[in-house]
Amino acid sequence: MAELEKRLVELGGQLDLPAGRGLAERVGADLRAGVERNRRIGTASLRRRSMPRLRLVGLVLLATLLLAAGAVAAVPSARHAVLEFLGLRGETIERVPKLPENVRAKPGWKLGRPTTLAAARRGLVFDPLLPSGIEGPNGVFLDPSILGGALNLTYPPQPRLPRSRLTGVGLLVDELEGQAAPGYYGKMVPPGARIERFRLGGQFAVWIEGLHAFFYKPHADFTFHSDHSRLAANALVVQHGDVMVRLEGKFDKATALAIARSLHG
Amino acid sequence: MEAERIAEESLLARAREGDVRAYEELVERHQAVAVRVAWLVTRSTPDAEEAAQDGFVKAYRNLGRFREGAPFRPWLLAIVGNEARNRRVAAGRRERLALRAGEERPDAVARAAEAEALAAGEREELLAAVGRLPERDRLVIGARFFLELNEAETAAALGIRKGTVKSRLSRALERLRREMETDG
Repeated sequence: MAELEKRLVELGGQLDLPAGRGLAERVGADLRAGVERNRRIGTASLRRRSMPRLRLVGLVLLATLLLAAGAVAAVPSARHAVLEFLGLRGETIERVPKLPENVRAKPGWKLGRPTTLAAARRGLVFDPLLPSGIEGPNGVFLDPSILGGALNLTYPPQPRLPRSRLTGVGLLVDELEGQAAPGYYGKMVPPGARIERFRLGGQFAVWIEGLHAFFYKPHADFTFHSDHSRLAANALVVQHGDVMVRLEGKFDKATALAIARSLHG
Repeated sequence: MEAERIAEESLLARAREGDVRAYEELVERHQAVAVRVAWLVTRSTPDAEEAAQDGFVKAYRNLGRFREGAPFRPWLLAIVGNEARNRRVAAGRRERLALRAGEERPDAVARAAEAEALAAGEREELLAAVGRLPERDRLVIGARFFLELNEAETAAALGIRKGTVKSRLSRALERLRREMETDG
């Protein structure tokens, strides 16, 4: 080790840094309070195993989210819907009579801060995937509020990727380290929207035509996130290893699949 | 070392089964480094403690996703580091790196007062030079040397790739050397 490095290590030993004393007790109290909350809502049978408990708390979070969005009233049975979403009944897509009031395509909503691809790579825990054979991207956004980072890329209109009237964008690509799989990904879809679930490259994929809201959970995060279609267009969600990719545009399914297949690191 | 690893795996297994007490023992083992990583990022003790606390809770909730046999510390530091970045406060409110007050090192008494004063002055100079570096340099130097994290832990804590740690550290040290020359 060079002299400067040795001096830095020595200096580190003398810095006045917090020691985190008492943290274990506070964390333990938080966790026990969580267990207590679970008991109060009558789920004692689930509390000794981590995954069911995780799902249960997710259920509470989602129920809150649905209530806030005014969507519960539109669903025949909120409990059924929540179980459905969490994959406890084997399905994660919920058809609702109408989407919550706040679901509108808003240009730029929650895309994150504009950046460059090189800079975005430093803020992500995964290697970004880029489609080949299309022009762009003309916008790179990093959303650090998602644990592990989320990357949002915009592409200009071009052949087979028509311009969105709302945003002028031809294609939006969202990526994060997370799971688009039953139990961790859910959608609310109004009547008329078409949904098709299938497997692409052996992994979960879903094609949605029309405005929709969706929920997902990054791998390392305990928080469910909600989002909605941003271009009022169609979407293809695919799982690429540990990375969940959502492609959104006024494209057809064949184009979306071609783009998804061209994704590379 | 091996005994430590086995003990930690045993605590992790118990925590996965919902044993909060076992998890508290894990927190005790890692609380100092977790809070310090969070402090490097937030430069605020209350924010760092909050970020570490929330990070530990999130880690517990996600133990089902933690790969069995993998080292726990980098995984934990990735979660805490992310929590800390989400709490980053305005630069004006940030606490400064500072030496411990009333420093009483065992070897101090054996040194001549003049030599000790000189060493203390050099430490202050080095600390000031680190403080003048851009944030990304301070972070990587802080993680590698002040907290003595290894490359994998540094990468996890700062949310960067392992390969980036080495190059970023090399540039940061170069800038620090220049900074000290300029100052000197």
